[in-house]
Amino acid sequence: CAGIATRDAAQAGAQRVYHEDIELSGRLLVLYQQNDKEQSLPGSFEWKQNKDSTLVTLLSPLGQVVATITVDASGATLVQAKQAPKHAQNLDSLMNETLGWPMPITGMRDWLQGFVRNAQGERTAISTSNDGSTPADGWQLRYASWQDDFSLPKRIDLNRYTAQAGNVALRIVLNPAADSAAPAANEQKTP
Amino acid sequence: SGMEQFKSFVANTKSAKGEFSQQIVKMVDGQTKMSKTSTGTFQFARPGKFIWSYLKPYEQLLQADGDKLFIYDKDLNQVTIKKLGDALGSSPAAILFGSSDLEKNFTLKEVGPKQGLEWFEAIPKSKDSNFDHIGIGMKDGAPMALELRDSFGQISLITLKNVEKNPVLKADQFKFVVPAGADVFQQ
Repeated sequence: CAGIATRDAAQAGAQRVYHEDIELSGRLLVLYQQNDKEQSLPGSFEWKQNKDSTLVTLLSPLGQVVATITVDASGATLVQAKQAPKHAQNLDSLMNETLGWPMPITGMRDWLQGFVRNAQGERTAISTSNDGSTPADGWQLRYASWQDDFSLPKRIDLNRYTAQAGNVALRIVLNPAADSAAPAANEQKTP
Repeated sequence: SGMEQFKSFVANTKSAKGEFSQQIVKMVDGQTKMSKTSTGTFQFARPGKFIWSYLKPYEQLLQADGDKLFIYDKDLNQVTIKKLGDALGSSPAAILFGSSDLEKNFTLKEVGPKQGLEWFEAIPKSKDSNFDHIGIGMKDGAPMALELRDSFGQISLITLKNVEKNPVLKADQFKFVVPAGADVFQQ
């Protein structure tokens, strides 16, 4: 895989601290199949995460809210424009029945900050020089680029095949953290 | 009034160009929260041709050539192509750049003066539009501000600056050229 990382890049990668409470935003392209027709959804998203829940807001290219998804201990709740909220224990089934494509929100709590789970299930920082793809929760996860200061990833590609949505690709570009509210003060160190 | 100015704008402005700035106003636990401002440039020619180009904080382009809508994101290096028809229908682009029969897709209502502009409202007739309500602020016969409220109550405030009416535009001004190396997705 990638050669020896430059000392500061690897070091920068390792210095990243995981934030349990964080707000992020970015652009998102969703590619999937619906009754075997290719679908592509360009848009952007806002991500608000704390210890107990994650709130994802999906927006159209012009900045209108298309849907909000909340995931917490009770399961997942999705609200679409002009519709009553829908709740389900399992996010995947909820997403498939409504938006038609899966979004691995639980996994993204780690992946958006450049962390993955090792064999023992511990959250570990992925090296910034690893631009190959890593299997994670059934997805292929690839960090195509990083923010200039290596504090966060920049371009993240997620790919997966599912029965309902065929080949699904999520292309994510994270805005620099400064664009969304800075991570809350009370983040804790990686365990 | 706002609507009179707008009707004359539509009648005698075949094309225009200028700059825009956009801010999102969100309600977060009862307080309004302003997002960062994004800025860019726009050009349009009636009917249905426009370039809405975000430059800051990141580059994203919405371009319509009268037939198709192209959405290009530089960082994602991808172009999504959609049929223009319904995509333009009840979007703010239809108000500024669409054909003149606005009443086909919107119910119009006079609102009156606010912040130095003459406002009127356009409420989309189609239920599945992303917008609940669009406000247009007119001054000296040109739109200066747009308020787009979606059904979650989030408001996009767009202000237009240095609007030049009927500028000289190149023949292929609105032809979209796919940037080298960009992935293309037809809808």
